[in-house]
Amino acid sequence: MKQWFVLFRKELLEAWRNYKWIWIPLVYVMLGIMQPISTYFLPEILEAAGGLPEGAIIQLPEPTGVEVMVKALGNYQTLGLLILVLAFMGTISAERVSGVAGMVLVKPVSFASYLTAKWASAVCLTLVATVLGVLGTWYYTEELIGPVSGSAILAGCLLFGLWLTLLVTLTIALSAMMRSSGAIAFVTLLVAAALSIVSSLSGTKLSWMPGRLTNYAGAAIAQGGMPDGAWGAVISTVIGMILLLYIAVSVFRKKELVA
Amino acid sequence: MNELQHIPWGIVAPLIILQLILAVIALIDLVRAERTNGPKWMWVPIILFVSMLGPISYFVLGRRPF
Repeated sequence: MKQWFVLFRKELLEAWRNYKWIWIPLVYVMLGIMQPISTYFLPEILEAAGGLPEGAIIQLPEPTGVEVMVKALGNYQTLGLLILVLAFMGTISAERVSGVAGMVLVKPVSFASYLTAKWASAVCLTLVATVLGVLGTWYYTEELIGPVSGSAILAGCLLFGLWLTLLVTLTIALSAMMRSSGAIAFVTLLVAAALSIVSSLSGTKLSWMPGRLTNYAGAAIAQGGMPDGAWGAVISTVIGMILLLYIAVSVFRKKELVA
Repeated sequence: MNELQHIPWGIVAPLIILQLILAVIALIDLVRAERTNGPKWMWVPIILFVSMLGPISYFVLGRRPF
C-alpha cells in the first residue's frame, strides 16, 4: 500500500508538471461558464449579428437556471469528454512505446498498482475539473439567469462525474491493451456514443445502463435530487469500472513490455 | 469608444482572464520545451490567436513527453 501511494504521488506530480492540473480544470470552467454568459447575452448577440429587417421582433423564451445548467453539462458531454480522452489516451501506451513502463516495471512493482495508480490520478483530475466547472457555472447561472438548488447541483454533479469517470477508466484500460493512441481515443468515443444511443433508444427499459447517467444527471438538476432508477445505473457503472480495470491488468500482464 | 462602455466588463472579464492564463501557460511550456510536434514557431500564432482551442490543441497534440 505504501508503494502504491508512492506511485500515485508520482502520477500526480507528473500531471502537475505536464500542466494537466491547470489546463483541464481551466477549460472545464470556461466551457461551463460560457453557457450562462451566452444565454444571458443572446438578445444582444442576435442584434449585433444583424441581418434582421427593420422592426423585427424576436420573442425568446425566458431561460431558466435549470435549462442553462443542463446545457452546460451538454458541453461537457461533447467537447469536455473529447478533451479528457485526448489527454489520457497515451497514459500507458505512450509509456510503453518510450520504454518508461519497462523501467518502472523491472522493479518489484505489480502491474495492478502501476495501472491503478495512473487510473486514480486521472480520476482525481477528472472529478476536480468537473466539480470546479460545475461550481463556476452554478455561480454564473445564479447571478445571470435564475436560481438552481444546491442539492440539485450536488446530485447532478455526482452522476455526471461518474459518467466521465467511467469513460476515463475505459480510456486507461484501452491504453493498457492497445498501442495506437488514435485507436484508443476512437474506440472510447465510439463506446461513449454507442452507450448513449442504446440507452436513448431503449426508452424506459434498461434504466440501469451506464449510458443513462447523463439523462439522470439532467433529471437530477431538474428535480433537485436523485431521480428514480439512478442507483441502478450507478451500481452498474461501478461494476463496469471494476471489470474494466481487472481485464486491463490481466491483459497488460501478458503483453510484451517493450513495444 | 461608446460601444466599449456598454459591455458589462464585470461579467465578461473572468472569461477573458481565464483565456489569458491558458494562453500564457501554453506559451511558457512552449518556450521551455526542447522539441514539439511540428515546428515550434507554428504553435505561437495557434496559441495566441485561436481562442481556447489553440492552447488545448497545443497541450494535446504539440507537447512531447520527453
